[in-house]
Amino acid sequence: MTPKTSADICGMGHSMKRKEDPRFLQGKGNYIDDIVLPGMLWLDIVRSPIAYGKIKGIDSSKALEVPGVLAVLTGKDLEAYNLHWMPTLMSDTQMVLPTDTVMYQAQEVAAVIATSRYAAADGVAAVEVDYEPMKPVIDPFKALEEDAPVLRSDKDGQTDNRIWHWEAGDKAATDKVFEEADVVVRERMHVPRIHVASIETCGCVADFNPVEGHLTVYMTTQAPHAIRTVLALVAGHVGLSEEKIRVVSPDIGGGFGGKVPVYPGYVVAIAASVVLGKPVKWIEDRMENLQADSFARDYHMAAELAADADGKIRGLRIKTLADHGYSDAQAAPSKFPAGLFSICTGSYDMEQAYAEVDAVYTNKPPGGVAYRCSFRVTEAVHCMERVVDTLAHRIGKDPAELREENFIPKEAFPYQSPLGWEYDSGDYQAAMDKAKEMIGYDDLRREQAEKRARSELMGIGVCSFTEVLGAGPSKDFDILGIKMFDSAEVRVHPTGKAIARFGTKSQGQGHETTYAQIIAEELGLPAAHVQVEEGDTDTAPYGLGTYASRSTPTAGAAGAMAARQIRDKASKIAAHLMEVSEEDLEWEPGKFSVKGAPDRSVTIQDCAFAAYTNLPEGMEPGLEATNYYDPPNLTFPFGTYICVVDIDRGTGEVTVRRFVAVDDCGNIINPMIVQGQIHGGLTQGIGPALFEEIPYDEDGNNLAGSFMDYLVPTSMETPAWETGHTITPSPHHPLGAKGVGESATVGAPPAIANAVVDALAHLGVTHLDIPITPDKVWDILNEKGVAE
Amino acid sequence: MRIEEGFTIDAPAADVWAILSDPRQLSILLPGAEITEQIDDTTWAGGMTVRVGPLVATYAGTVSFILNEDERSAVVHARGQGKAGMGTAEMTMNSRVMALPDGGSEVTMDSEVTVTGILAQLGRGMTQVVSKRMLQEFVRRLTSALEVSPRDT
Repeated sequence: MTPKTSADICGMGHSMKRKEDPRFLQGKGNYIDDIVLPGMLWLDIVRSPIAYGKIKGIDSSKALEVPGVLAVLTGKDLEAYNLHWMPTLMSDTQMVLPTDTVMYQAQEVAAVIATSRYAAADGVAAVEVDYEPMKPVIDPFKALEEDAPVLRSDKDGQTDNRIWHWEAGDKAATDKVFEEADVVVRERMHVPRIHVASIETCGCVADFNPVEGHLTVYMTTQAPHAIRTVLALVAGHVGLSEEKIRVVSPDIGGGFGGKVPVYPGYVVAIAASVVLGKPVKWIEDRMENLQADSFARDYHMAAELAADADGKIRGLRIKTLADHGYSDAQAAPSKFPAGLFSICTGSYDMEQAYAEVDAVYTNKPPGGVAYRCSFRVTEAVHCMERVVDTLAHRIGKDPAELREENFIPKEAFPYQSPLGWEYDSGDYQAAMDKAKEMIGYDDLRREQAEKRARSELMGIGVCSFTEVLGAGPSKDFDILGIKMFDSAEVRVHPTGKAIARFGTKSQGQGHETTYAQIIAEELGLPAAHVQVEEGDTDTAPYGLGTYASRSTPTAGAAGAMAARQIRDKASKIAAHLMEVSEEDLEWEPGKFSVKGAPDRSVTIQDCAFAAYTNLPEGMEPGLEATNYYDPPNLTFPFGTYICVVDIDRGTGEVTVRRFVAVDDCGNIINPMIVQGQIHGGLTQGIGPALFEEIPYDEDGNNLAGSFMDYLVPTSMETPAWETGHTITPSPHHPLGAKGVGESATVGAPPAIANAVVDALAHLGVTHLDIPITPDKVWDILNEKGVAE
Repeated sequence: MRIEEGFTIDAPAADVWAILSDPRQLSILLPGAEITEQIDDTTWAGGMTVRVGPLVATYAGTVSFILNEDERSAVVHARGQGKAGMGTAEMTMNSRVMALPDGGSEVTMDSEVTVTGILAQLGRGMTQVVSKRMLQEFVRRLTSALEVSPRDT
């Protein structure tokens, strides 16, 4: 795509270097743990070593003797203010601190406040808690058995461990398609519990001013405005009022959905600051972070695909069990308890589909954050892309060819999916063609055949995903009733420079750069002259934050609309300055000129100066605009990923030899940033595919609670990614853009899993659950008698 | 977790049983163990310190002994609460002393151990090794106490 603006203006399509990088690369970022306020105290948390049990007593006396320790807060202390419970974003409830029972390992039990981080940690070690352990419920299937103890007996009317049942599609019509189908394939799969493992853990500095009654919370949050409103709603009874609450989200060291929910630590720190009248800092250490919060996935899915004998897909049926842990504390839109799982029909046209999800409580920490994923899209895509391969192998058809024959054709857009989505645009064959060409698909298949004849194990995995991003239109999307629009406020200063503030919050996505480029595209001001600010609820316009790839679809669109409003006003000023009628003006980025007299022109900077110095009569001074953008639809980016794996028959190790990712996210704002997003996402895709899992033993012990056992990929495991793109603009987004930040995390795991299964398919292997660790492969190699 | 251990020793079964059936003597021989007071006929209060790699876990709790003098067997149930939030540990051990034809004894110990908290998380895979090493030290102290020569176990 050729940029419409010059390199000086640097609008859309320019690979502008990131404006935020100079401070990050020089260690000058401002993260939560960099914030130190005068008189600040530190808070550390006593956590439960057991998964389920009664608290018989908490003895703080020895902790209070530790030098520097000032106070120990327990659930009983918070109970006095009715702050020991809090609502979750899914309208479930969750303990802040327990008064009598612990429900999962690493649960917050008490908080120690001290004059230093070290004293607080020593205080935590000195708090003695007397537990009476009970037998936990760890297996979600057993949680639904009749004799399972009811874990959430604290909830009125809760008689079992089921949280909710959700379904989409026409069950009867889908069943009929299955009865009539020539071929039905089935696969059971588990997308296990994983952790976002962002570099920065969660934390906050709560600063309550008892004189003003004003609370400032510096917080690792992806959604500062929503947090402010939630604080006002749940803490109104203790005197906190929304105009006196300021939430500031400073630089964030990776969010990935893990920094959307409200965790007990934040609330305890705020309560401690309110009680003590001093600033209080809480920051998790790595093991706390890996054991207590930011968990994702944990969907057990049974998928079935119905097809004609030649492989034409006719229907999809999925039954899912979702393990939410102790509470439904995920951060999905209210009407979508199973997130956007109903995108599971993916890139394929079919007659009918039916999906159902049952959510259950277990004695694990609350899970289900949308880890770099638009609410369960990862699970849905994994399920569909795996079972499509099962069908291909069953009927002996090439997996790429089977996909091509079932793609929704590009003429069919906007496409109505059987589960109710209106896909905005797509050209799936183009992405497939490009990916096959880049990787040399036919040559690889020949190589595979030769190697198979020599008993070498090589597999080729294909994934053609479609995502549903950018939540979302207010008719369907809200969180706790707040509609999921987003916002931008753009103000042009007299000298032609601008500040633009947004309701979202970058956690590494590069908003300071891309948003400036959007304003540059629409106004012709150089992007270098546009200062972008987010994350301070006192200054930024209200918005629902950054997750689910929603920033460009919502706030980015709002920025474009606000800039267009400003350009409209500038046009009137330009007409006034050149003493012509507005209809006689022509716009090119940065300049209004008179039609037919191109040498007569004024720049946008001239207009900006005039907006404060030389206005047409009757015009309101200033040059600024605010836009709240309620998207008419979501955006549906897509892509085809193809990868090649080699399997070591001696060790079972899977090596990703090549990985080609062709993405289509519509019009591209900054190609370099998009490529960076894809690289990062692919790396966060290879992790769950091959290494990452948070397993629990039968006693509820987290068995991957440190980086010794939770294996994130390093540069050693990461192949040289090969990326490409096609461009199919979104017809409804003002810039034709779609979200992209999560495509690779969604598309990579099934591509890799499909490649491993493809390498073993001739041995009768149809499925392997991720993560596909060497021991899993080694067991199969031995079972099939091909281990070396 | 199930841990099965055993050893033989050049000492008469009656002598070995005399020590193994006395909680106070046993606590002296078992590395890290301590008995502080007797609560009732079968129950004692005490503590246990276990080292697994860099971790030191100290548990305080109770241990009960149900002895079968005729069979020279014991059911030992120990339950402890870790200090400094180290979690809980619970063990049920069936032990037995059998006389060998050569005049020595064979001791078998069959335990079911449940550990929660950090030791279970980080000590995973090391617990068997650690229990084996503790047993070796126990046997060394036992042979020394009985003034007999060590045997290969």
